Amino acid sequence: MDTTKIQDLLDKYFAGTSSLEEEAILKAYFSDPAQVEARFKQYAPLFQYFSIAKSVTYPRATLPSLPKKRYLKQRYYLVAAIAASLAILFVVSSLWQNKDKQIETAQIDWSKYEITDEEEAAQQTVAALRLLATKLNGSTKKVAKEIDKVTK
Amino acid sequence: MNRLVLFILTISILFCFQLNVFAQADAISKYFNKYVEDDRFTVVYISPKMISMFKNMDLHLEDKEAQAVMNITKDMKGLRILIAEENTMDLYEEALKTINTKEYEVLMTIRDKKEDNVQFLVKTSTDENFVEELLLLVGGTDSFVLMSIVGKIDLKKVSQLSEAFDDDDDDKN
Repeated sequence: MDTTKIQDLLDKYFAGTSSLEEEAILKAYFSDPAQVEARFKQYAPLFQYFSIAKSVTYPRATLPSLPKKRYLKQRYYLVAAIAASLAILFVVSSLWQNKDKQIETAQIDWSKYEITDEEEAAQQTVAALRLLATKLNGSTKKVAKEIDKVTK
Repeated sequence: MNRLVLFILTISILFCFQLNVFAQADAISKYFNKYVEDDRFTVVYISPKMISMFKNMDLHLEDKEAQAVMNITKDMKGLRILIAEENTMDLYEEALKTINTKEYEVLMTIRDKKEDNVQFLVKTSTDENFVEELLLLVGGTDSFVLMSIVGKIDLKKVSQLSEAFDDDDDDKN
């Protein structure tokens, strides 16, 4: 390419009066380092900047695996935390619910009052059931009598 | 992670459920423990083990009575009785007030000026044919009786029992 034209364009560029088309010409000229003349070499980075920047790639292959591991670990901590808080919540709530019952039943030692003689135990049970039966009979009869009185 | 959370939840619920099952108590243990330690009361307790031995014993009863007693004792898991001979009416009133009516259902109440006041209460179970506990309260002029039968009690067997022991024929009809 004509070096005087390049010189002109560069002058315009530094003066700030170059048009977009003219800058495109400069970019095209500097994009091939082989054809750039020695005296223009110092300006080359100005116009190669974007093409160099474009060629930069992210080094995927060498991405460290540490962050992934750390994320997994955090997840386990989260699960463990949920588990622990649930466990505490349930234990406390069930203790709260059963507090009165447990205390009260714990106070009575029924074995102290247990009848250990078989014969006596049987007699007591029969007596108890007889009482139950007579009370039940007495009650139903009383009701029957009252109904009789009303209907007669 | 979802599976883990689900697993934890299941365990926790089971744990909770188990605690609730273990925390059952009869009415006397729950409401009348102060009477049990009181000298004015006669306390009777018959353990499930003792009840289970009755089937091998001669109960000195008529056949139909023995049969009815056997039928009912088979389902019983314990029998507790409290008897007092002082302040009987006060104790009766107090007992009626103390029992949690949400938990216990009144089966029958008899109020009588001349004779004993009687109240039957039951603690219903999930199975509607059975009750978990049968409570008998008697408040008379000379005695107060509180009887608790726990187990899986069939009320039909209770009525059979009352028929078996019903031997005064003149009162029928």
